Amino acid sequence: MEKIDCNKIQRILDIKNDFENETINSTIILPEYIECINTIYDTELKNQDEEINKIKLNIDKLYDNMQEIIDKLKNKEQ
Amino acid sequence: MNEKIEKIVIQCIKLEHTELTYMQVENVLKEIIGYNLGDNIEYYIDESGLDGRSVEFNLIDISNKEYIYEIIINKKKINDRLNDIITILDVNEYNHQKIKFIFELLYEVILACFEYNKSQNLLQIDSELIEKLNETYIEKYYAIEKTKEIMIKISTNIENDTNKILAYLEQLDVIYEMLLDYEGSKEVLKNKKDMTNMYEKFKKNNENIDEFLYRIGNIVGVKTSNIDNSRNGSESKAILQDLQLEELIDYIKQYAQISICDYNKDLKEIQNEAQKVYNKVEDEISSLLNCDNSCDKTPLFVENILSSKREDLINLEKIDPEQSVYDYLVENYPEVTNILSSKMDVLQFLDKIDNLPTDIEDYLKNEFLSEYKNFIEEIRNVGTLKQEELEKELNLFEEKYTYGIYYKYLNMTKKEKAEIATFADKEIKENLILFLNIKKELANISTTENIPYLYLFNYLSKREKNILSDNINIISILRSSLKDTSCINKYFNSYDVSKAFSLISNNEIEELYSMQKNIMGIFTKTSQFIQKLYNEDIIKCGMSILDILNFRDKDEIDNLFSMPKYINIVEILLGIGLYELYINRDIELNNFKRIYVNGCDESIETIIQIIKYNDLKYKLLEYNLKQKSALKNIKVKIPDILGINTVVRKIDDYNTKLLYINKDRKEIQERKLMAYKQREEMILNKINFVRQKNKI
Repeated sequence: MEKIDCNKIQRILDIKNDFENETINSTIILPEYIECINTIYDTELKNQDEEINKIKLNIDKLYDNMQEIIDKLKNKEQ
Repeated sequence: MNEKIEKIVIQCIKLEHTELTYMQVENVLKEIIGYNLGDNIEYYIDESGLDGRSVEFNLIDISNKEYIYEIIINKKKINDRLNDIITILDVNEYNHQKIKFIFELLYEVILACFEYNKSQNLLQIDSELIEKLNETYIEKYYAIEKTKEIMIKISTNIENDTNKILAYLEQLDVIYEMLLDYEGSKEVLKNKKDMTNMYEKFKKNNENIDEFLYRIGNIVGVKTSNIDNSRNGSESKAILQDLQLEELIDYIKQYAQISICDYNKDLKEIQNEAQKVYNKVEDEISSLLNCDNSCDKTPLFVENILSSKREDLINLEKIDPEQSVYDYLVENYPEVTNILSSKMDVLQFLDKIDNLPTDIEDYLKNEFLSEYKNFIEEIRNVGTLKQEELEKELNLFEEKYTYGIYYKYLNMTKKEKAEIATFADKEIKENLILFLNIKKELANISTTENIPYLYLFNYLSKREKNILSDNINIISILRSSLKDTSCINKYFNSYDVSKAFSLISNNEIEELYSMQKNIMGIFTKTSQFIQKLYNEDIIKCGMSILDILNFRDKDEIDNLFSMPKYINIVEILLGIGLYELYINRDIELNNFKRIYVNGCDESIETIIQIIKYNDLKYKLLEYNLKQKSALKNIKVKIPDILGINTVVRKIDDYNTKLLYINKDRKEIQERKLMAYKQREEMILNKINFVRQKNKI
């Protein structure tokens, strides 16, 4: 199994960070690094998607919850 | 060379590792080159040099260069110089990095000098340097690597001068001992070519044979003593001196083989593996040739087996990649290659025909065409070809070529496609011709099965198409397919069929039009098929439509767009549009319209609307990248032909574009995420507030 090169990974993350902060542009990033960064982006976007979906579900539950409270209040008033 | 003289640039000196100051470096350089250079040396510190990383030195005075080289070569001995340098550096004890740095400078200068003046003295200097290296024993690996570089330079430039050769051999002696000590015999053996080369040069002069034998014997003796304790160095020398010169070389070769087996376990295993594969191939071929009816197996079949096995062998690094399968066959199985050789001859000759005057060309064409036909006849006369065997053969062909050809072709520019016809990967073309002719046999069995393979036809040159057209009539196959409704239902929904259509000429299309008014029916079915597959493989379907659109008139296209659910088709076209646009690095909508000039305005407007509301372009780009990644793999699997490198370069461009897109997407996602979180918090606060207030 291929050995994981922690230094390389850290370097890629640093480059990605610099790219996001616009302290470097793509012309000076090695092609192989660009591929790696894109892969990282894929994972990040996927994770973000999952997180958004979770929050959406939670919001739905909160709405249900709110509806329950409204119902209770209505009953109470009656 | 002039450039080299004018600019001996010694760079990448890692000052931070050597702990040297710029002044020290300058002094060292001056010391190496000579004392009296004064302002003739200039050094530059680049930006990175400002923080102590690197510095470049440049000899600026051209008039003094010869003088400089003379100083280096003649005036001072390297040993003295080393001592001087060490004094300058004020080093009380040897420091690895510093010494390495000094050697770096020395080697640069020596190599530059050697190119300038191939003086025999260099051999002496080199020899002294090697001794010094051996003595200091510092950074030995590095020193050996550098020494090897020098040796290679010297050996390639050495003239047929017996004394020089002997001097060279003397150094080989030293180096081999060092190498043996450091790396074992494996690396030494890589240099065995040096000895044989020297021998060849030496033989021409035919002088000092004894001396030569002594030196060679010494080298071999050192190594043999490592192999076999019972045979020491002096015995080896004696043996070698008794040998004839020719035998000596054999001896060295034989030694190399023994050594590989004995000294490198991995290599031995590889050799065994290779032998096993070899044996397996041999068995398979023998069984093929000796089976009851050998006619059942065509040469192509045998060749395919060999090809695949050969790849295994090449992977094991035990077969010469230069040796073609054909050579292998000729050598081992002449009976199989009788047919192949006639085919090869004809094709090779036909390739040369382009340069001949027309009348002669025609004559030869006819001559060789008939021979070619005979060859086809031979194939056909194999006669008892069984369908399943043929299909097996076709599968092999598909595995090996179709995938590669198809993807390569898709990604080539027009120019590259055109060049294929002349440049060509011969192996592919030859197999293609053979293949298409065998397909003709299949045509009698199942006409429609042929169609998916027709796109391969485009790979042939005009000349080859002409040759083939005598043997295989594409139109007739299409025609018979079109006549058969069930066939249309079964096959004309397929991408491959559309592709086949796109590759036949306009005249051929016209012919089909006049014959059959069922084209729109095909469109309908194709579009249904596309809609069905839409979610699975957007590009593939889109390409199919695009191929069709390329040779349809406006009315037909309008009809196509007016079909139910046409929006999906438009969407697919959009995809293809983007695909094409990305390739051309041109994403302007006007150009998009220009590409689909045959499409009606309404459709184009729809396309533009769609692009605003979905992320199709991302999907496309991702698909695009996947497809291109596959190309990278192909590159190593089959011989490279024109265009792949360009495509691979494009991959980098696409990746860069994707990088920016991903960055934008992430930012958008983050904002989205933030907004949802705020909303969630707001609702929660509201609920808590209501609960508290009402004590629920």
